[in-house]
Amino acid sequence: MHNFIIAWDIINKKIKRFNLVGKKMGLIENLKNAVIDGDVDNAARIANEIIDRKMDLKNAILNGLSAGMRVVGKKYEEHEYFIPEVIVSADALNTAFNIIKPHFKDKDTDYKAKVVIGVVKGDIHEIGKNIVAQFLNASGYKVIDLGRNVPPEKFVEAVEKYNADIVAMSTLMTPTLEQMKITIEQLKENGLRNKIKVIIGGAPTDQEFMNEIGADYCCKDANEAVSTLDSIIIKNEVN
Amino acid sequence: MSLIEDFLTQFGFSQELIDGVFAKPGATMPAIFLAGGYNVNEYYKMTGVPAYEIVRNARHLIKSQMNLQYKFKVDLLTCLVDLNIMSESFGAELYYEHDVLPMPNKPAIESLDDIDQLEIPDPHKDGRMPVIIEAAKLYKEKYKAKSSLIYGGYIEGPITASSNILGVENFMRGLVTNPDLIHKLLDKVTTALIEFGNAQLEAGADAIGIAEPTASSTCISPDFFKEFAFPYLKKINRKLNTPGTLIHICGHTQPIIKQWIKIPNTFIISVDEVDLTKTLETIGNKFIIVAGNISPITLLRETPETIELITKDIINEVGNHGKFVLCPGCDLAPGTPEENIMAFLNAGRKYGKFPI
Repeated sequence: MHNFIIAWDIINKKIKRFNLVGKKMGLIENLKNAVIDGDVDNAARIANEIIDRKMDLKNAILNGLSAGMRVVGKKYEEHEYFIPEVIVSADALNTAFNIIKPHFKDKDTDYKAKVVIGVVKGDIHEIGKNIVAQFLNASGYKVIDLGRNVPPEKFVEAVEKYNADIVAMSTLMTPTLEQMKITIEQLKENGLRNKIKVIIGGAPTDQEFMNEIGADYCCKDANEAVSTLDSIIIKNEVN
Repeated sequence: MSLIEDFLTQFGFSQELIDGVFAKPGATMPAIFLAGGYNVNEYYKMTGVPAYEIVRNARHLIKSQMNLQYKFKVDLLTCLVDLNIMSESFGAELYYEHDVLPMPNKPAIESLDDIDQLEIPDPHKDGRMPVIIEAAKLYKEKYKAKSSLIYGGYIEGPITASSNILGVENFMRGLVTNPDLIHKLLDKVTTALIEFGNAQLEAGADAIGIAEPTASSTCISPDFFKEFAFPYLKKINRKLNTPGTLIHICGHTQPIIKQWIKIPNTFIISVDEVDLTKTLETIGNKFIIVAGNISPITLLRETPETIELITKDIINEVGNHGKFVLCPGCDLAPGTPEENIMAFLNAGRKYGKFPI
């Protein structure tokens, strides 16, 4: 009888622990779903609960926020989501990320790489760039966002100031494509081109244009930007 | 057929153009342009008059448009400028550049809560609306009698105009989080767009083109198109004092073609990234002309030889179907080489003789 009680106690503890683990996993899964659904309030509530429970924040960012955003990117690719849905998902991601970030003891070395990002001079369409910046942020990159209508010299200045590894440029329009070329030339003139990788994006950009201006990568959306940069990191192309 | 011919004659379609639209033996597949950014940039390079002055001055504006007509002899021209006319009239701030069209800088309102602050602008007073109206008047007085050209005034579509009034990102967010207020905004903007379009018609425009790229499936879902774009485009087309409009939606539009062609009084749809065969099939017996769909990026970057081949493919795909005119998928990009534009038009003249 005594043995039975001890055994029961052990089983009970195991069940409790299992439940706790299950609930923790559930919370991360819920955070992911809040991002997918673009549910800002729920994302905030779950992020706070994750902090209160002292859960692994890196796990929350990678398997909650970042995983959720990957699903959103996929749904966009498959024409199930459109810009409005992606924006509210990015809102949910940002809200949760801003709650978690102050508790996340990050050192500079915790980032995969530093990315200077901006919409080139003459163009103000920045929704796509904002989404890419948020995806990169949630995927463990340090993102220095220069905003829109960014002249070449600002890119150069930021690369030097932040000792960046990657320059990401975008434009939605054809007349402003030229600015990407000028920016790359200025990076060369300042002796920075070989220290960094240049990634471009936006509707009128493609591989052919990328080769023409001497950029390193051209990505069609935020998901591809993350996977491309991740692959550079794996190949150790960025120091 | 003659009823439709009468209808087209009302807009100033010549017999030659009508025969082209109906693919009559001996006629040629017509070509039209939606161009603004290219024209303004060319006119600036030619005259030195900066873009910010061209877009604020009816005389320069109409000259920049007519210049394209003189150079390339196209049959129909819409006075497309930039897509910020309505938002600026509602109070948005723009960046004005010396060589290209102005761009949005600061929206008219920062939040949907400020909708009540928006006052419906006066087309004869506010923003650059008086310039566009004056351009239509100048066309009628100076150029109409001398050319076979059909001159289309233009308005932005309700989604495109409203998103520039509220800021595109806020507008897109609002579609999901606050649809009621978005409808309120769209309703207000629609009233202003109708007044502006009618003022251009009154001043002398032969027709009205509506530019609604932000309603494409590149930006919003087909469901949102149905809920937020369709009812207002329908209202605009019903209230404009013209028997029909051209509606231009660039980007991806295949999923919305069915809805689009249900908008009453639409007589030309200007398409970009679509399958022409499917689109013409969807339209079926309805009288709607499809204008499409060589990419302006192709025109900007490819060689004349490639452009000739692509145009030939478009012509062969459509064949003798009729109700089709050649047109770039969107505004010609500034700096598009003249020989590329000529290659496109010449291919139309060379391969577009009916029967094909």
